[in-house]
Amino acid sequence: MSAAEATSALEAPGSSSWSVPVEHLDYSFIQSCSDLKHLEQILRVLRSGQDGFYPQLIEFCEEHIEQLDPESRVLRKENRAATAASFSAEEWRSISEDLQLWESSMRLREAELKQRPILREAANVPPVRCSNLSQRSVSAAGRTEKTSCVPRPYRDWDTFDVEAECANTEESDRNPCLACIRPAELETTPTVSSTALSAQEKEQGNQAFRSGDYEEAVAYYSRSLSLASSAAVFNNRAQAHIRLQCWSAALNDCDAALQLEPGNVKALLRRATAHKHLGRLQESHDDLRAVLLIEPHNATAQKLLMDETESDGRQETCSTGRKILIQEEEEDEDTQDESREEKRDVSGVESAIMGNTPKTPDCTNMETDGLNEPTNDSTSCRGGGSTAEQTQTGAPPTGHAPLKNEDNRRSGETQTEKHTHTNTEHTAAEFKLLKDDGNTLVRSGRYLDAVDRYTQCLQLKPHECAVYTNRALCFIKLHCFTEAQQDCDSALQLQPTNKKAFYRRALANKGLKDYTACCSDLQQVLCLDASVTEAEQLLMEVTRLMTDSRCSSGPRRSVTITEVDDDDDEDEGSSAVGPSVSLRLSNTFEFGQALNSALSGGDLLTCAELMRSVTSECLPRLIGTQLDGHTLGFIIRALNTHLLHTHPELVFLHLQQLQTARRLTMVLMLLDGEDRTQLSQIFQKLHAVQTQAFSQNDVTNLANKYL
Amino acid sequence: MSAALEKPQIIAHIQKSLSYTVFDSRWIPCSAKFVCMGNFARGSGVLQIYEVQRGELQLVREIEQAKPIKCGTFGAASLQQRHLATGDFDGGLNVWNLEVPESPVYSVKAHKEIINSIDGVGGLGIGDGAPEIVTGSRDGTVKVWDSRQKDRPVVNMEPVEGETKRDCWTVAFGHAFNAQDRCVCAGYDNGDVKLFDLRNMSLRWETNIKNGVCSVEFDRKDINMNKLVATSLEGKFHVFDMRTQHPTQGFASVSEKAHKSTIWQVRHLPQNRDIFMTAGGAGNLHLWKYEYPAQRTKKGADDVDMGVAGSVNLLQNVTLSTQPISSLDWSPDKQGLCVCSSFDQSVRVLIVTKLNTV
Repeated sequence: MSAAEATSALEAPGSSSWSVPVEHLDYSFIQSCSDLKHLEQILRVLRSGQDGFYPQLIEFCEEHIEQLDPESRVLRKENRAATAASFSAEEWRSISEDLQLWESSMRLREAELKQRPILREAANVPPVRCSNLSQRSVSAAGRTEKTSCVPRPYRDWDTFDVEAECANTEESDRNPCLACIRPAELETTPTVSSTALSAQEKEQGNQAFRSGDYEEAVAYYSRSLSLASSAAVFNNRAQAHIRLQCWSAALNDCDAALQLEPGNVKALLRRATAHKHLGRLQESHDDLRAVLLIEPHNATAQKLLMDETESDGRQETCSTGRKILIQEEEEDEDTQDESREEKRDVSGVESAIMGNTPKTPDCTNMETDGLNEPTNDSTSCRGGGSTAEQTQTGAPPTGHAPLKNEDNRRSGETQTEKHTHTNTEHTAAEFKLLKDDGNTLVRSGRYLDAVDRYTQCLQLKPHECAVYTNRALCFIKLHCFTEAQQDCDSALQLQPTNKKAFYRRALANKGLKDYTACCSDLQQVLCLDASVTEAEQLLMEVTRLMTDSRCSSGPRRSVTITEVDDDDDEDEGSSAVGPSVSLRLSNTFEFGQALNSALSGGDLLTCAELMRSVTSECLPRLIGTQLDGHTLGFIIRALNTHLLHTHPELVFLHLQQLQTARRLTMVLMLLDGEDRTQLSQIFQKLHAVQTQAFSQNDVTNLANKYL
Repeated sequence: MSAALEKPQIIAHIQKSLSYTVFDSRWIPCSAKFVCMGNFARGSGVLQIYEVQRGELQLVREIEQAKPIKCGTFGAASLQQRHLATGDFDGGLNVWNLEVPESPVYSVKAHKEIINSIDGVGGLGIGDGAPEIVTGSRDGTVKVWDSRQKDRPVVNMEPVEGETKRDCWTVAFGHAFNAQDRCVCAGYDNGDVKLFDLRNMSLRWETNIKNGVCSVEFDRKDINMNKLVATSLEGKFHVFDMRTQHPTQGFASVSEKAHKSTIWQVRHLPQNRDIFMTAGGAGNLHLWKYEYPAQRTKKGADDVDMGVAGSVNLLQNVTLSTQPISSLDWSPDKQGLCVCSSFDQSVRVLIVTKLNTV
């Protein structure tokens, strides 16, 4: 028996080669055969080579088997391990870079670990297993036969202890997984931070979720939450609850997630689902609308909403985006609104009272602090959710109440509208009302409804510049940048020097990623009024974005871009650098990355921005061991060219702190001539600065240390 | 070809030839280093620590021991101390502080013969309860140790008097999801797989997979036991669904014949419990994914719940050497990074790509 025969016999025990007639080793037979087992046998015979070696036939047979069953085991082939050559250059680079990043981060972590004092954690570790007992019982454990509960000999019944037996069964009935998963305890592992531990529990939960064990997943998520609460975990637990059809538990989790992260789309979607199954269609719709406000193209929300609308059969539930159309058939909607109000008898009285408020003269007063004031004012109103404003309108701070309030007020208005439709005097009053209404809506964050009001305004008076700019703002908030741009264009046609329109068009252009247009708009704003700090800031940001997009950098950079995008919405008025920047740089590694990317691109502006965003005290730590002559020279140039004229105090502080950095004296020796002149320029300029922060003496002292 | 590249790829990143026979290799947690354990031709044992540095292996430390070392684990050590527990050819269990390796921090003559397999739980933040080490030996016993108790095991599982002693080839901890519950699974040369419940001090389940059991591992040690993989001498492995135990039929399982030779080792990916790799006697590695069935339990004939096994899919396979791959260890810190040692006296660092997309 040859070696080949031996292997073939080993491979297919019991199916030796003579079970395949020789005439089956043929193209036409293989082609027509659909018996997978038989084909696999044919292939084995062919591969063994005992009836001759036919490479084409083998290949043909393999192809045919693959057609029948791509997963067939006979098709498994031995592969060589992949090497760098099996990947494209780019893939390989990312793999090896990833590994090197990991290596360096591991080295850091290990050093950190070693620095920590070794705690005597004996108190936290569970005691040693009781050995005396185990020793005896276990020596027989290898063979202890299980005493099954039934059947048992009669004499056993005499000694039957009901109590003990009941306790026993209870014990075994208890689902061991859920009942016994210990509550996560912080103190058992003092070495690992609670967040890391919580992430670990979350990961366990995710794995359980993936394997379809939702109860276990819930248990692990709960453990994770007991260590550290996070919106993501609440969200995940909500999803697990949904799978288990525990709707109210899911609802609670979504609420918790939304409290931590108000705009969380997933939480909203899941809450919508939970509401729907609890029979609260209205709340479900509200959540879905909220989702569509944040992500107008969210397919899931659209689908859910569509489903619900169909099942509901009422027109009021149709997506908010179409309100403009509805508005043309006001009368219909009125009656509907009213009927809806009647249905909602709980809030009926309350909203009726509130419905009156807009008709009182109060509301016309409110016009004065509308959105037409300088940007600073309007943002301050918008920014804080303006409790003062809310109390003025009498809107209670609860979630749904303002909505009813608006609806009712609107029905009131439109009724007025019906009666006085032809009267132009009333048109003006109505315009005011609508606009005021829109402004209030903007302040309470209901941008889509505000757009609706402004559109109505524009139908009444199409040449009101302020309404266009206000509506543009709403569109920006809704991320409908094209519309925002159009509105700004219209506003600028009416008032070519409206700086607010310019500013908002800049925002819209930024949203559309047209940074050049954005820049030119911002420059217009600054031409009109150089004191608009937010325009200046935005300009800096956009300039950075432009350079970023040009020197197409890695994924890390793109993350920062989105961060900036998000921030910007609220950032309009605040002069401080957003928290994202400082957060991003809290870590030495990230700082080093940012600095290096600036350095490699020779991007002084980014470097200056980086320097501006760090506090001086952190600087030596952040720079750490990276300081070399090249970097220092670069930083000095950035400080001199971009930061010195605006923030001399900061430059001084930076330089003061930098001298405490490790190896600075050494590095200073490595500076080249040009950098030295830059450095002396900085000190000359600092001498000239008049400030409280430092005296000329300080500067001289510092200069001596550096030069 | 594009479809093929969608699959996880196993890259032989670094290969290093050694001057001794290597039996086991383990990543040092929270570092880019691993330990290789083996024996020199002159009959002494050796521990070597290597660090991965820019695509190369740097020898950090070499420690020579009196006895050849068969196996090791970090599973019972705290993350700060990272003590390595080793089992040697002479039945000795030693715990080493790798920073100060001159003398062991804990040493005991654990078994009369070679310790074939060792596992730890309760350390590294994996598993609740006391940190414990389990050893399985050729003398047929499985013993659980606590390094705070000198000289005596905390649990000893041996066949009763008069019964033939089977060679225990592999042991593994599992089910350590609270302070009380804990299980040890042991595999023997005659194909026996035994599951010991340390809480009730009883044999919870046993089965026979017909061929010698080379390696057993729970998919996770620190959860309510979920899956158990047992590999066998003639190239088959069995995946047991450990969630539902039927009083008579035990656990449901699926088996797969992967290698044409012994499967020496199975290791689950620390970042995904449904993915595992088997190492074969012909120098090949197979990467598998377990797919759960739609329903994990069903009602049996007598209306008792019984488990339903899923299926396993082969994700990738490679052949690395002509000699058996004796050990395999996934890095706990980096997904897809693993180290394996083989009997051609070499150690390899592998990267498995695209594990997060399978």
